Amino acid sequence: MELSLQESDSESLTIEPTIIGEKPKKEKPEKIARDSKVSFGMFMIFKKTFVEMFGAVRVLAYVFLSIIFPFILTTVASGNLEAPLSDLNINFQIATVVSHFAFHSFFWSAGILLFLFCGLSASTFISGEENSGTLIFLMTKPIRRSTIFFGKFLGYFVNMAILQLFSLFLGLTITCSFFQVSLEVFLQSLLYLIPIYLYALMMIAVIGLIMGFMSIVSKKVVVNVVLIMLAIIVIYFVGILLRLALPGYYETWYLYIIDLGYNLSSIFLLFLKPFGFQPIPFFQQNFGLFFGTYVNQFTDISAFLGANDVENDLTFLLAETNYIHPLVSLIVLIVITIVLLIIGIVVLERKDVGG
Amino acid sequence: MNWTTEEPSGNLQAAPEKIEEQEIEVDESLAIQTIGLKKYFGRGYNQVRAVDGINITVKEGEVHGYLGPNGAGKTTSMLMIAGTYRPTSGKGYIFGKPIGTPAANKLIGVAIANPHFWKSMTAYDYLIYMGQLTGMQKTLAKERAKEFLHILEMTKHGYRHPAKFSTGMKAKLAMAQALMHHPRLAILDESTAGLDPESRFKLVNTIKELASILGTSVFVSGHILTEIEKLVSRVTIIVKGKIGLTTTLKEMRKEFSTGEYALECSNAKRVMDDLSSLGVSTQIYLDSNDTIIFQSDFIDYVYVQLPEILQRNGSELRRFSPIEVTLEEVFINVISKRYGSDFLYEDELLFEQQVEREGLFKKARRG
Repeated sequence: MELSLQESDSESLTIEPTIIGEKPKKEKPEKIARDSKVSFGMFMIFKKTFVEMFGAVRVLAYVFLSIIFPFILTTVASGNLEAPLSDLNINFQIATVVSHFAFHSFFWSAGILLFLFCGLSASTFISGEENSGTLIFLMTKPIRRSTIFFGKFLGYFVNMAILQLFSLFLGLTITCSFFQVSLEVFLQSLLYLIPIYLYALMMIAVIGLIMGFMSIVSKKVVVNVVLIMLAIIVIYFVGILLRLALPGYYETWYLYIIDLGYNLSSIFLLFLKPFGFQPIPFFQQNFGLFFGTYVNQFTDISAFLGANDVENDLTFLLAETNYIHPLVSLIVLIVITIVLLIIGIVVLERKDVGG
Repeated sequence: MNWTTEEPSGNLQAAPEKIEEQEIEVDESLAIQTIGLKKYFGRGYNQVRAVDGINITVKEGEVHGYLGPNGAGKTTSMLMIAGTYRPTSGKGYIFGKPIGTPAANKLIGVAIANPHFWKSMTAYDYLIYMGQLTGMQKTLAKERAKEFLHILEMTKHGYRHPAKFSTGMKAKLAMAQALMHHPRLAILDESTAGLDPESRFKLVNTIKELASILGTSVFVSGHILTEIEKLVSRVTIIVKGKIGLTTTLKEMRKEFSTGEYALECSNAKRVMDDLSSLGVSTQIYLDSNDTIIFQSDFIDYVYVQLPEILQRNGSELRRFSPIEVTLEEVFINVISKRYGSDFLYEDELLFEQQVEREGLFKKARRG
């Protein structure tokens, strides 16, 4: 093998003739300084993660799945209305649209679907690279291990944030169009996109960091998948079973402390309230039934079935349970996430990565 | 083969096994300096001492070979130096920078055996990306990527996905990403594993030329000793997680020399009889190529007598040279002398015992 290398400079190397049909370039070592730029490893990893997660299949699957639930729910709800919604006063129209939108967002777009997509994406931050044997090359580059993690996290976060905004906007549009409300109602309802989006961003970060932690401590994908499934079941379905099976004990045994669904729903309401959110009976009864945030009688399942009365002045108000102050739930959630993040980074720094 | 030396000593630097950390000062001129580097896996009864307090020094600009049988701790120690394994204890420095830190990683390029690549990038993009991760500007990274694809004869494969490459091309690509930022030290862990002899020969030559052009120190491990022999100027042999020997090839040949000489001439049989009658050779025989192989401690006397013997027998001298000991022979010698000939099977035995123990443990739990 012949090497056509010529040492032109101690730092740079030129080849003659140049490859890929290009004209031979004159050496310009003064322009190409090796250490002229500060390492931007985090940006590189962010960019790669972001671009990879924007695959057409993934985006289409996400958009399709995110609209399917609002589509079904609003079809049923709008079909059950006794009179067209547009005949009623505008505040009630907004309250109805926003309540439905908030419910299916919490349950689906910023809920189960978010858990599935965020959880599955974040659980491969480190373990995915480790299992595919590509992490070793990243670790031999002059970047910190935590930089690799945060670069990936940022790529994931921005990606999910864009997808989530898109899916929430689509969800609201579907809700408004199925209820056949005016453009004014739609525009005023857009205000409530802000708190719901903020809540979704928080959840993207929390799920990303917790599952990112799991990706560091566990190489097994199946463990992470099981964990995500368990989280979804515990949050959305265990609370209702507890309240149904142990109605007397739920409060006396302080079961709401471990009821993740209750805590998350009260955090969700904490985000919504400052924007003047007025829950309609449908919202109150369903949130009371599934998450225990409102005092709901299990004998009254009219809202669940969709046969709710139209009340123009919104007098149908169930009391909130207020077991735990939502701020406490929020702080606990943030503290748990930060603690797991710190443990994760420490573990990552000490981790042995083989080929 | 008869070994004349019992223990590696004399000029040879038999690496001291325990050196207090305080005794050694960090030397910034050394490419690699490790002080009592240890790596233990597991705990208690199942603890495996993969690397047990090794002291390696690799000088700047040298090509240093790192040899050892399977399971000796080669890869573990190399990965510790590369920063992907964390040492249990001990310290290591790359040009005075502690191993496993970005500062040290900036000076190194690492290629491993059986590398894997992302499915989402072509070989060309991969090299640019890896170059940028080391802090290179994109324009420079692009130039270097083209340059290295050309050097490694992979230009036409630059726009293919490396995940679908053959083993040889993957090895070359790993080599390219390790060297493209012109590191001061290249750590190559069995990077020619799985290649056919021709590709291996080419790659070894390329490494050698690149290292000399770029002035890169190379720390290379491998199984094929003839190949390592061509490449390196110094070797370290690791056995059971400990350094068995560190020496230059020249010293090694001298120290492990068998005192055997090969004499190739016409009328070999008669010349051999005459040489034998001199009474200065302890062992003398003709090999299958009619070359006289003899061992003598009085070689100067043989030199003096040889012209006369040849003349007397009407023989024509074709070649007369000492037989050089190969790295492979030294390697086997070091291992078998230190740890016995059954050493190579020991790991398998241990593994079998462990499997048996785990089986019994499970049985006991079920019972």
